[in-house]
Amino acid sequence: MEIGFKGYHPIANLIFFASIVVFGLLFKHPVTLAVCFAAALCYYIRLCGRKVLKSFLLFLLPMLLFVLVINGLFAHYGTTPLMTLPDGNSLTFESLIYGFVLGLSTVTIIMWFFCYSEVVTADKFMFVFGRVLPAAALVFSMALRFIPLYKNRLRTIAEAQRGIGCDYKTGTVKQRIKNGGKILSILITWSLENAIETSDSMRARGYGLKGRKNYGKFRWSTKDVITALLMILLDIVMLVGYVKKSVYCIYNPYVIINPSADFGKTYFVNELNLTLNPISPLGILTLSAFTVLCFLPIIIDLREDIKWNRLKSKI
Amino acid sequence: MSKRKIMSVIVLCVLIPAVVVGGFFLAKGKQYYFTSLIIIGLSMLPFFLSLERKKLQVRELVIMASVIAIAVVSRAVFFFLQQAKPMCAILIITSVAFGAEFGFVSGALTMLISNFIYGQGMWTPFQMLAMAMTVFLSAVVIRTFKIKNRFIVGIISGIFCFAVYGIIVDLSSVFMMLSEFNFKSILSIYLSGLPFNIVHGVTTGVIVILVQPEINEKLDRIKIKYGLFGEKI
Repeated sequence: MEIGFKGYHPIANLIFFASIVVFGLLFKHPVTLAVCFAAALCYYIRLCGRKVLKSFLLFLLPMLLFVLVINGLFAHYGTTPLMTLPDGNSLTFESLIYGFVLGLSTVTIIMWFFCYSEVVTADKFMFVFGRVLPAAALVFSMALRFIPLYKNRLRTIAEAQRGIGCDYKTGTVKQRIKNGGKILSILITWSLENAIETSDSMRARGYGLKGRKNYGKFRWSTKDVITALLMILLDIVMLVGYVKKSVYCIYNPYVIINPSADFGKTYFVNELNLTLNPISPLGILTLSAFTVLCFLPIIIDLREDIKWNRLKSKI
Repeated sequence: MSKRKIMSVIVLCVLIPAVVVGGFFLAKGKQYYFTSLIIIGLSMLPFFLSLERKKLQVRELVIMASVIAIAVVSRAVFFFLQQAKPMCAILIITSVAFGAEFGFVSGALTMLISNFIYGQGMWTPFQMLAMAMTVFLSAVVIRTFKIKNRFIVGIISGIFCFAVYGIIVDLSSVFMMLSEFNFKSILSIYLSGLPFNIVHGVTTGVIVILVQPEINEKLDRIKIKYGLFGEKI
């Protein structure tokens, strides 16, 4: 039994990840970016633990810098020059800020995808899409089973080949490719003959006859339904907020955060051409809906942790 | 015209332009990533639908599954070649024997499955389409001109692998990472991906040249023996 958000119904998991990716890419407001990044990092750490530090330093941080540098150097928009580059163009405040925004949102989405890989495993994916495309789903699930099987076969074949002096781990590159190819070719003979036998056996047991149903491991429970409905409600709120442009931001030609309003106080930084408008009630609603959505899996996980610890302490 | 062809014509001539125009006007041309995702989904649709429709023999489906698994596993054999993914080579060799449509579907599914092992990302749909197109195009070219010489086969698959796969996969970085599309910024993204693409193309070509004859013989044998993929017994 999986715990926390991981143990929820696959469709609930997919609704969460779909909405987080869509709205994470649509909203470019500084608050949503920060919230989305923080939530992704928390959930990623919660799922993967120590691995996070390594992937963050080696993969995500360089990526953020790469996006920042490319946009800073090559994007020629914006009106506030900060300095002049060697090729005569100027580095603008706007392109730097927008480069950072893009880099941060890219890194955040990648982290959500890492979480997705942990939560939506292949069997859940199959469960959801297997009904729409049954033949493709059959191929998909059989291939998943064949992968570990063929890995074992590959090892067996490679050991036998090494016994007769055709090792693919030593020798010149050409020889190694040749020997590797030989091993693959043996694997192909073995596996394809086997595949024919498997399929004959499947047909003998009635594959493809009418009136057969799929086996599904997952059931809807009350908590799944409530979570799914909550997420759809949040999606609707955010969609309305997006369409009405309540969390609207522009980074070109000037940086303007929030749409202009006739209430509240507008801050204006002259040197950077930066406008900071007050946020509308709908904007606040949209931002809080987004925050709840982002932290939903962490809240669910923590609630279960607390419950579990309380039960444990009662024993 | 077969049903699949009619379907492809509808998708290519009506739906994809509609998505491009719709994405341009509705999102004011800002949501390149989502627009491209929809286009990728649409372009793969006819092939997957024909897989469902055609009532393929069970044997052909199971063979497709084992080809996919072999392609994923083959990575372990050539681990000593850095950055070398022999997947593309294996898929091209099998689809030359079994047909271009077989190659398209198995290419897309191979990338999907291997990403379940090595990590999903926003590049997954792009990789699926890229691999499918690479395998499909090279199989179409090699099968139409009935090329038998393994060196020419290897060079063709290397070029397709370098060009088609590289262009489509790096497009995902272009859409994600750039705020403004100008020649310099796009060029810089493609240049940073160039070494990987060259290595990928060259290793694919070399592997095809070295192992194609041996594997092809076996695939042909199984095709003729069981009368699969349109072969008459």
